[in-house]
Amino acid sequence: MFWGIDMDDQELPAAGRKRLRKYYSALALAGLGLPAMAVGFFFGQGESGDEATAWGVLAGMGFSFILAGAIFAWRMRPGDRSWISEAPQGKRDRLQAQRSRQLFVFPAVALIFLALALTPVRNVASGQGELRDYLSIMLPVLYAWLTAAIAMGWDGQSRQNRRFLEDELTVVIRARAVTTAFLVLMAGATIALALFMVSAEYGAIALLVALAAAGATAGVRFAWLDREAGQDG
Amino acid sequence: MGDARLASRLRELRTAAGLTQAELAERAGVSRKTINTVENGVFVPSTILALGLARALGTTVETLFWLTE
Repeated sequence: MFWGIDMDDQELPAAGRKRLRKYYSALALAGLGLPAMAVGFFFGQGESGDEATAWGVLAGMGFSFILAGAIFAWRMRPGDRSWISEAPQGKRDRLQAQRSRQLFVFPAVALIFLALALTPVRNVASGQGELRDYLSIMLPVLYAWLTAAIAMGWDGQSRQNRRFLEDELTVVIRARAVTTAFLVLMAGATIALALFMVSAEYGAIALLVALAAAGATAGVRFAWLDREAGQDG
Repeated sequence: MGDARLASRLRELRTAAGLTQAELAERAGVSRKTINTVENGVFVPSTILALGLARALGTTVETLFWLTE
């Protein structure tokens, strides 16, 4: 399929209305974050242990909502006309470069969270896990899923800009990246099973590493192949 | 992704038409990277893409691509 990439007279106002809806949604998100952060800070003071962690998570989520809402609202701000004049090929290059950056950055973040999750895994395996330990263990897995979702084209950005981010080459690159990631996942899960027979703790750590490594492999391999495709010769 | 049996005259015809990779990509509705990989023999295009490239250059698929064996 070949995509029509120029907006016509009907598409342009529709796209403008869509951006305005996104602008108000972003403001609502920031508005939701403000009380969450205030409540989290207010009730978290003087608390300790799991309760302090829970209020801290609420405050953190509130702050994230405010930050994300503010950034998104700025990008969708009324009166900004720069999105109209962007050439299709320029937008394609920009979005593909943005995806490549995400596919390098997200695995790096996952590996950092993985390193931070090793002690919490030991705490949980020894039966002394707390809420923050469970959250720490889930973070590298979450980022592995996010990376895999971007590589597969399942994230919101990819779905909204499919005509700019997807073509035949993308499908081939994705297939190669996912094949490599699947090999890493199979090998990692096998090693995790073998280690589980020695020690449940080692098995859990190896499984966490396998998941993070598989997600990272999908992302980095995709970004690497995409970068290679852009090089001459 | 590539196949040694496939030969291509895409780069030659594109430059003869005075088009950059990005301009041909826009005409064919694909990314510049796709054009680059087809020209370098790294990626074998599908029939649909081959027909689209031929149409964008005002030529036929047989002129653009052929089998070496």
